[in-house]
Amino acid sequence: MKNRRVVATLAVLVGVGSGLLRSGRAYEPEAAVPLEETLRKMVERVAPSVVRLQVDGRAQEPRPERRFFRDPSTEPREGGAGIVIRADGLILTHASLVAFDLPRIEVLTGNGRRLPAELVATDTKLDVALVKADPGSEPLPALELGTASDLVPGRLVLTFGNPFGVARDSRPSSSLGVVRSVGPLDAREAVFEGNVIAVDAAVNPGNEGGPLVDLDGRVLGVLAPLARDRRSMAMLGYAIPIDAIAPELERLGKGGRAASLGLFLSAGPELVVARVIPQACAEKAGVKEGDRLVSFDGTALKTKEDLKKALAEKRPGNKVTLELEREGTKVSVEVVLGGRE
Amino acid sequence: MRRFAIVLVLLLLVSHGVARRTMHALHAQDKPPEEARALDRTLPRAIERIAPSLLKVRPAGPAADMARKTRSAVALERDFAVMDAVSIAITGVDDLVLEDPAGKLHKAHVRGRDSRLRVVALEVEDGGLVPAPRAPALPEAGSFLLALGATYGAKPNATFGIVSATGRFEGRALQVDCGIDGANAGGAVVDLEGRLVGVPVLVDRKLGDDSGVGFVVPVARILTVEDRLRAGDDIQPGLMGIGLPQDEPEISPSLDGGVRIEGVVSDGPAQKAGLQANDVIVKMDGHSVKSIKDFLSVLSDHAAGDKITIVYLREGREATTTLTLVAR
Repeated sequence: MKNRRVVATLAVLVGVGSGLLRSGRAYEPEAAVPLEETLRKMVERVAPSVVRLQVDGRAQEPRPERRFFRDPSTEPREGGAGIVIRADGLILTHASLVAFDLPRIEVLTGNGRRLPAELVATDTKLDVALVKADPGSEPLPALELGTASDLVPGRLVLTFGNPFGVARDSRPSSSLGVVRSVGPLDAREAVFEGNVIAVDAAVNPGNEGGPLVDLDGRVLGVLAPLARDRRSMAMLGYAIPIDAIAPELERLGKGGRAASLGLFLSAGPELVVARVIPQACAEKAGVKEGDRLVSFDGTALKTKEDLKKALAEKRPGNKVTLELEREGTKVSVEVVLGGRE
Repeated sequence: MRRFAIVLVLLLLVSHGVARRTMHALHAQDKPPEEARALDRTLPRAIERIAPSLLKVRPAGPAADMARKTRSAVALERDFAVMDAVSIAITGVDDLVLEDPAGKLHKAHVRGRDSRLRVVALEVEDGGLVPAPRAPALPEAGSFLLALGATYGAKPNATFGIVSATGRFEGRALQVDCGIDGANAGGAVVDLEGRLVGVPVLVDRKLGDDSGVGFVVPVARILTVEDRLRAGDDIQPGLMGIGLPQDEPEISPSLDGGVRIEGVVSDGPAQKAGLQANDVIVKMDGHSVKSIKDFLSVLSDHAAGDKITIVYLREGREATTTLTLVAR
């Protein structure tokens, strides 16, 4: 009801506004100037924090989005984008850009500097990577991280990056659009399995690794390569939300791997083991398919989120007690946690 | 001492002013002014307003199995919805269900279709749909629009753009630059107030190619044939059975212009009505016809099966006849 009133008021306001316009008075571009000015200032402020990444190295197993095209090692590398998130040269980017064994990375900044850089960590689940450039005595301008948790379709957003390699002078290009949808993708190319932010602003090859930002210039997500959504068959430009990435940044920054139990849970809310990975830690500890997880190191587990939180506080090699329910009886096992990239 | 105090006060005032201005500048840089957020706030509200009328269309069956056969439709009346013709070919035409945003399912039957407008009509048994609020008039070129679909996700998916041109498809459709694809075809195109302007339609089966050239059939057009759609008619473009000159857009035997008939198809409606080559059509159904554009505009308001009254000139003399348009 309250919402309806807001909408009604808005409708009246807009109605009055458009009525004025139609009544023959001079149209008022002034009303659009604040938005235009905001965009101009914001692009100017964000652009220096969007760098171009040039990566070379021995190709790994082709990523899903490349598997159906030519061998990536023979493709000319136009380079994607990266987001400066710390003045000392810490750069957040998309994992596809650094999917090489021993990648050689060069960072090109908006003011024409070429900085040597190295790969800090790749997270294969988030599908992002951290790169560290050496900015010497001149620190890099870092972007502020925002939140995508309150994003809804229709919100104004901008994409930044190096589409089709056009950023020859390494100044990034930008594009305005709206949030198309927030939710999981159904696409062969998509690696990240959580909710993503699909946008109608331009996303093209070379935008991957660049930021999706709001009107305040805060990072909402990391752009990924285009994906064809199998439900709508639409090509979607999308970003991996920063809210999923931010909690992992500290661990990734240390090059650390996340602790892992070495098992898969069944679909749905139940914490039931669907499969144990052969020779991984859960199997070694005697966890069986069909076991229900009850507690992790003394913490009761009610949801999958509980397990995720508990795991996030552990490191590979930590020893934990896992309580299970097997065919109605409680079983306790000791697991030496493994790691995943 | 006193002078010193005054200078100090002045300095303080000045520096306070400078500080305030500097803070203001910083503030302006970090935070956009509220006016700049008007559009950012307006678009999600427009979407909220139309959302109850946006429907998922899919074959009856478990929703999860049908995710890739789900398309979008929009409710025009409590028991009447439309979607685009290309999308229904993907969904299939048997045992359709419409799912509203509250998750309620409505059993639907496919009724008529309009090949001119590229839309298909659906009727629901329970009459429980929420009719979309309608825009009072067609927006002009340059107006902001949102194209919305229900094909995937819990909330409508949105693309944003403007009216690129009016009067496309022989005057039947708007051209828009918001992305129109499999995600929103058959759904809704709305104005800044969330009022329905028309239905985004696909012109071919290239579902995912966002070229920036999309088409929208105005809701007012669809409503003019609502009765025929409900009756299950297959509405086709109406043909007169005449050929028009290629290079004479403005041939004018009189000062008032008109459209010269280049030739008539034998046994076609025009020949049956007594029209011949070189007759000049000057009026159709009471609308004066000065150019081929006028001619097409009147013709596009009609469909196969419609009767149309023609006033024409033959050797300078005016005559009137009536013919019945046929399908291709």
